Amino acid sequence: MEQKDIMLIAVAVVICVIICVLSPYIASGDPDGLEKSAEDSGLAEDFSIEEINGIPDAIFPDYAFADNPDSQPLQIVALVIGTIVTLAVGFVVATVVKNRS
Amino acid sequence: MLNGGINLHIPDGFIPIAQCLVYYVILIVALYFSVKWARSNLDEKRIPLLAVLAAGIFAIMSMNMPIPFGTSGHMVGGALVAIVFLAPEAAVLVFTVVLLIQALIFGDGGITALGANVLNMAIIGGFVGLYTFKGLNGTIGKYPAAGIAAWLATVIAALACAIEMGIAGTFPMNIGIPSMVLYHFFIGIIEAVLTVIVLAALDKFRPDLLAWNAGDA
Repeated sequence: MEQKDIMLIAVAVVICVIICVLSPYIASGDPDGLEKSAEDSGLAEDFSIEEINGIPDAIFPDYAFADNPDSQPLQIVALVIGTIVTLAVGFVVATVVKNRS
Repeated sequence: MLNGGINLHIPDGFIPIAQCLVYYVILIVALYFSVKWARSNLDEKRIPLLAVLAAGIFAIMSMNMPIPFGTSGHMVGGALVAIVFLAPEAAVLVFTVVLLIQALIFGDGGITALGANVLNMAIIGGFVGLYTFKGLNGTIGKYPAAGIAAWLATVIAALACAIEMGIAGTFPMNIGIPSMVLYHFFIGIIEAVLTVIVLAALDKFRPDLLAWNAGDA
């Protein structure tokens, strides 16, 4: 990898970490578009049309630690872990699909 | 995303399994073409670019911004990725990675709904974004074209999501379509601004990474 590509990754990681640090504090807690649309049509927030068994629990449900969901510093940790994992998986997947013949 | 809930991310249970399978078939076909595209179009510098865009989209999706009507929304990025590479196939690869990680590790968006979510955000978002951009680029310039493309991609993806919810019977289209389109009318503005900022930054610091500078636009 060339130096400017390493630089690209470094700058992107810094920007992502800044977003991850700010998000738990400034992200809006208002319901989002799909959630609000579901509410508009009279659908309860916890509505589920069918229970699907066998889906594993998320490691960090709602981008937080399961045993301490309201801790904002831990939300930052969860987000940073997610960002790094996504970067790594993205890199591996891109490399694999490029080289598979 | 934090605090909010689902946004364009359809959770498990909103779409019956049989319909999820249909969306998975669409996803597999899209991945076939995307892998084919990647083989001839990804290179040493575009592999890190793809990874960086995936990480950036993961992070920015946590940043829910308030919009009118007591709701909120965040950037999606399907149009951005498609315009950077001038290929919706790139968006399919990026979003399959991001949405899989969000579903498996963070419980955001369903594993069963992965096909539908990739369809909305990457396939529909990417195609609408890229071809709106291509259609307008010659007449109004690349940044206004990219902004409108990103806005339209968000609104059309939301429309598709509302139609899927209608077909699934989760909420009726006569309420779902106007709601989703109205909210994403505003979310699309956030999408447009951030898409243009990222494209402008790449054009300034790494113009070699933008496919439009390679003369493909």
